[in-house]
Amino acid sequence: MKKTKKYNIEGVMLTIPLRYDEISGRYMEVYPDFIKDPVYTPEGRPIMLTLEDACAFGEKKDANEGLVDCGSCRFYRQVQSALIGVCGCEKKRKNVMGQGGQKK
Amino acid sequence: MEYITARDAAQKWNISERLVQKYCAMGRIEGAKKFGASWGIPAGTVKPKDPRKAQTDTKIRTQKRQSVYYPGLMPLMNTAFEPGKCLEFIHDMADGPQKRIAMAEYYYFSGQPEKAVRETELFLTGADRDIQLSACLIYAYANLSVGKIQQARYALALVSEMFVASTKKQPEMRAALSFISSAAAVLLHLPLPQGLPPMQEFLPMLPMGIRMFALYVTAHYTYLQKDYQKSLGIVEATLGMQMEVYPIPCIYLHLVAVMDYMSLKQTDKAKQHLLAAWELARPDDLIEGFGEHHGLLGGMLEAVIKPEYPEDFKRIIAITYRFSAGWRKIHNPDTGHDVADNLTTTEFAASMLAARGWTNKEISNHMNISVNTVKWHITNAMQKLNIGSRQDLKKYMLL
Repeated sequence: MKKTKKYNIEGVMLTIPLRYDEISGRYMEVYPDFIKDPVYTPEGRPIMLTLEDACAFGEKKDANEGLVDCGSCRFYRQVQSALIGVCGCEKKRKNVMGQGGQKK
Repeated sequence: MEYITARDAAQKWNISERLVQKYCAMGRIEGAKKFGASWGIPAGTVKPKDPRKAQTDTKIRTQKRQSVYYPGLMPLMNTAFEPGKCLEFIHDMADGPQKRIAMAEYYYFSGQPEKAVRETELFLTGADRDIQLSACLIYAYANLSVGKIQQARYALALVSEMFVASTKKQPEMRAALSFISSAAAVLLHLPLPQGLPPMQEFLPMLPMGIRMFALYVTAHYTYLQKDYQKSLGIVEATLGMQMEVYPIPCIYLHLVAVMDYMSLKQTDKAKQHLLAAWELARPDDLIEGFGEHHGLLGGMLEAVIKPEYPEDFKRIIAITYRFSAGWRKIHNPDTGHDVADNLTTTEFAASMLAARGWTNKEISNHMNISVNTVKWHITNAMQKLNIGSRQDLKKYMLL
């Protein structure tokens, strides 16, 4: 049976497959492509990969660092010990009543 | 006798009146005479030399030195052979230690470290200074490549001992030792040996090919100080001043230029230098430098060499793994570097660029791979390093 790791991210259950890496001798998480197949929280907020390129709506989290990826954006809430998180930007939020949010 | 005033003299000599008075008081103006409170200076007196400038002139004069003939010091590095005729040049050399060292250089620079070790070990304790120093440098690096760290340390310790034992009365010896010591230290990112003289003291004594390689070492050191423009200046000036092409130093100089331009995000210029290095290296298979510098070339090998020369690329990557494994073992933790050692070369290259602030799309365009593949490599790297943000990659990269 394939190894997996489960996350409950703000109400959405995600099962992330693991693969064994020979070089480092450890299991690595294999994250899905959230751009191609978006996943939203019940509040309509998209799940993102931390190192996804920053979008046009992003704002710097730290004044001394650049805005390069989701991880450097102040709207992003990263899951502890994982490279995924939730985008808290209102402009990216999907309308839970059925209207889609603005695309990147 | 006709006299002029201090004010007139000051105007004539383009110095201050006060300085003229000072020269008069010091007796530095012959025939100057005091009339009451003012000085009279004989008309036609030549402006006295500024003692500070006179001192500098002497200093510059004394630093002019003839380059010294070092027949056994890295003879291949110090030869402007025609690309593609490296082995022919070596075969035409007279039999003897010098030829053996040239062959060891060839083995090393073409990625055959075992043969380089065998060729040099006999000369580590020989009587000929140049041969011994060359043997130590090649032996140390070649042993790093084959993972024999104790032997590498032994050779580097021999050089240190020779440096300590040398005296200022042996300037030729100290010049050669300074070159070998700084090359060994800088390229392994170790602290420079104590007591190493400033480069301008020994550089003029070195013959052209060795001098060019010493300037490559300086450019590399300057790159490590993050002064990319200055490093590029050293490279461009060195390449621009050469009368003949010395392939080995030129390959290494071009590679530093690639590193500098990649740090400045000028990929087109970086590519030009990589291709220039490749044109010099490929005819003689002198690929070692590409493997040694892989981590600092910012994915340029993947972007340029891999698609056109896949078999050569595989060999370069094999050199990278072999060399970097040895290098990390000898690396001094006191220098503060903490370089990732469990990443694949592609993970390392993509992560280097990510740590420098490149976006996934930019990395993808540069490395000719998809954005998803870039994300795959960086995700893997970050997990292996147990870090949660792109910024933290900097701690594990050579930037």
